[in-house]
Amino acid sequence: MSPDNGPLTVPHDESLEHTILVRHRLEEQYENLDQQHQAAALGMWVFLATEVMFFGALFLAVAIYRFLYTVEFEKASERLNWMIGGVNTLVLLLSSLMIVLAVHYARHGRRKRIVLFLGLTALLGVCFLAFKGLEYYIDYQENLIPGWRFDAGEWVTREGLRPDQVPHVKLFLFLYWVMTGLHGLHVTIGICVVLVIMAMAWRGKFSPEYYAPVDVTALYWHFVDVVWIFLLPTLYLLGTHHW
Amino acid sequence: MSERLLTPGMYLIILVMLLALTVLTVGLSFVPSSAMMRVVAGQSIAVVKASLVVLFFMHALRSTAQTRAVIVVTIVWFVVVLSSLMLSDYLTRGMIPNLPGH
Amino acid sequence: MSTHAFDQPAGAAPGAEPPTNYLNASYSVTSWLLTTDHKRIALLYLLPITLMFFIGGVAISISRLSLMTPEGALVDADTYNKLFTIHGVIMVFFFLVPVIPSVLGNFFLPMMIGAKDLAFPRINLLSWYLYMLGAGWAAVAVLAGGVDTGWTFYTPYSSASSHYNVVMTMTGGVIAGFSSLLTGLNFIVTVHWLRAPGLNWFRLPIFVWTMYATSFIFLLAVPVLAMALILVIIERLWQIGIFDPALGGDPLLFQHLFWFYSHPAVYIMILPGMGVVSEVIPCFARKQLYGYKFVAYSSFGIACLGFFVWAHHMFVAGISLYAALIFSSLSFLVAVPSAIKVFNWTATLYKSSISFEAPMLFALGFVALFTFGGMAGLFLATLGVDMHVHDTYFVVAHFHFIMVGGMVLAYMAGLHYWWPKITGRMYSDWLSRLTAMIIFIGFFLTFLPQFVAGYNGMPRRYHMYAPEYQVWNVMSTAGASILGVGYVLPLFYMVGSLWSGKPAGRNPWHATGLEWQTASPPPTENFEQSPVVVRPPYQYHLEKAQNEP
Repeated sequence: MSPDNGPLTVPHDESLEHTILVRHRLEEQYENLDQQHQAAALGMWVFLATEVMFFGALFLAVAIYRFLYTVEFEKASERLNWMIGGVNTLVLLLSSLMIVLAVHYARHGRRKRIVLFLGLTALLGVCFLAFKGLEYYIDYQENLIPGWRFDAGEWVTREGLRPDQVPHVKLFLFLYWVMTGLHGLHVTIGICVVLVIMAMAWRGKFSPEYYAPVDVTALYWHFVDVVWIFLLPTLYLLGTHHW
Repeated sequence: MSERLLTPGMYLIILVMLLALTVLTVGLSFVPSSAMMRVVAGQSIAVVKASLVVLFFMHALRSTAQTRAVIVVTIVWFVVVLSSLMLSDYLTRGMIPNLPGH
Repeated sequence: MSTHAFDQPAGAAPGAEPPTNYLNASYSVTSWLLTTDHKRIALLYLLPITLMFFIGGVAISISRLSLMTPEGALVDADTYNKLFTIHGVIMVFFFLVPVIPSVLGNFFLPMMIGAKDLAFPRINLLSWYLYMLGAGWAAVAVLAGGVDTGWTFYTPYSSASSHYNVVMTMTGGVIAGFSSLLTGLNFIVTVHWLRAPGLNWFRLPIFVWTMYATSFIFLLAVPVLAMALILVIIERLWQIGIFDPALGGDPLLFQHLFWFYSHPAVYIMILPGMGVVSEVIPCFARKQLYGYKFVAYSSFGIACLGFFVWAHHMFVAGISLYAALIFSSLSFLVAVPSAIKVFNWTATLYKSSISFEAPMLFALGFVALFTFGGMAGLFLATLGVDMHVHDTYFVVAHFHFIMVGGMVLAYMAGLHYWWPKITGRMYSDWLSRLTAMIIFIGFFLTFLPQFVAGYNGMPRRYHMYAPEYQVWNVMSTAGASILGVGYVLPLFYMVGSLWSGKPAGRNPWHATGLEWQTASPPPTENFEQSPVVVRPPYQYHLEKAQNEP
């Protein structure tokens, strides 16, 4: 365990002290670890605010086009796989519990439990991606990929749309792919970060005084969960489902 | 960081609530209703779920004033500024016949 | 002209070792490219940003030459479109938006609050690498043949029709956007958590307030632009997208998302300039800033209200009349906090003790030209007038008065004000004052005729025009050449000062502010001891009560 403000790497050359090659656990611009933790947390919240605006633009696009093309959007939404969507929601919510417990045990310095719960978080994240992959495969089979696999005719005969309404279905599906794809990318990045933090926990880098990386990673993970919480009704539940 | 701590048991209760709300929101989509009701129900339940995650899992209730300000400002900016002002265009188009943009 | 005898800086004893500062702490390339020192990162930004300024300037110089004759025969229409596009893209995304925050903000924000560095120094370095990547990408796009959509990238031309490097240019813009977003994040957390003891919000210099307000805008606006550009990139790459009218998509949705960022972006560009001017004017008028709280609050007023007005760029694009009415009213409202600042600067100057060093000349020029250009904005916010002057040179003149007459002059003011602190050297006084006058005169001659041409109907973004506008265009081009001289001169006397300038000493301008309490150039950790703040800023009036050495 390195001391609070000792360097984590020792430079050969002191002139490299103020570069990224040298990292002290307590950075010199902070007075104590608590201040550093608070700053890191605020930094992550501010970053999440930018992500809200980033995803928000897409949600707004769905809202606008749904207003303009209500019937087409509902019909297209009904064709999405609500079962996998619903299961994935449960998976992500469970993973949020896992990571909040990881933070809880980090605060108490329980190294093995931190690793366990971070591992479960990552595992559930991978489950999410696996189900998503399955869902994407089914969408492929169902011709729900505009510009690649799409059958305009079936929207007229099976779904009862007029031919001039069919292009609007493509708008919905485009937004579905972009939004779930972007979300999936965020989950993937989250899993990678969780694994890195898990490795750090395994090597005993965290203590009740220093666990900010776990805390900050958890905030990111919860945000990814919140995006999915809104994606579910926005994309999957616009129409009426039938057994 | 000093704060009143939530116990693992309390986190579990929050999770159960979240899971129940998920089942509810999917279940409601099988109930025939108007398009507006579906959107209102779906988004309202999502807001409740998100609030549970933000307040309890992300510890927003016990956070600093700056963090709470960030959360409030973000919500206001997205809902009021971006969404409402942009919808003020889309919702009022077509109201005046024979005018450009209408 | 000058009534103040600024100290001859006390030099070190002859033959003494120069003290260790952030510049000479290490000379290795690694220590620069991997640095976490905010001051070095600021200088790392300074070089490419200056280069981008001149590249953007060269592009439009060619356009202005072509516009000397109504036929515009120097370049063909396609090339003309590419020139004004690349001028706009480079000047907006790679010069105006980052220059003061990433150079002067990075250097002085921590020092002004008594901190050793920003909250996240490594993210600061990442911001620089992202800027370089974005700028490099845009440079490659230029070399690969440029792009002709205008810096506004309107769909469906940009998403479906243009044959040029839209995707490449936009990618550069998105990457640069993330760079500035991270800078904004860093600044916000820094101001909240790293202020020195005793430094409450109302003891902060206005420059810090404006950096904070600017960061606020970065964080909420950049992601929306990033999404708009990414959606167009996807539409171009996969031939399907939500702005395509053939699918029922609305091209105006792109404009909404684009301007949601790009209007606040103009406040990103001007607020830091206003912060600089709020530092310079009290110093060279030897008087406390009048109405400090009004100036501080109005920074937030501008940042917030600036988000409510974006569709005033779309009055004739096809938005509904009711939306246009709302945005027009809000656009009038946003002028108020800017006006409040102008009144307070003017009141600061009243019955003060003004001296006309270069920073002050630039700052005074800012106040005049920004006010003039800002008033033209009210004309544009008026729906009836905008019907006639939208997409004419009236608009071009309006935003250049603010961006060039305002923002660039403010940047020059800041550069000239803080150069002695950054480098430890003084530049040539008379040459810098001459430069300020040349720039002011050149600016007026370049852009005032454009107001006239635009009001009389000359459209923008056309490579040829009706003969009756020629006189205004010739005047404008003549002014541009004078302006060009004015911009090149500082390269000589400022770079020259690095070799032959007088040592500046700790506080050559006798300014208040924590950054002037430490050596010039500062040591790497900024302060030998962490300062404690007991007084509000701009206490220039106190020096009359003291015996000034």
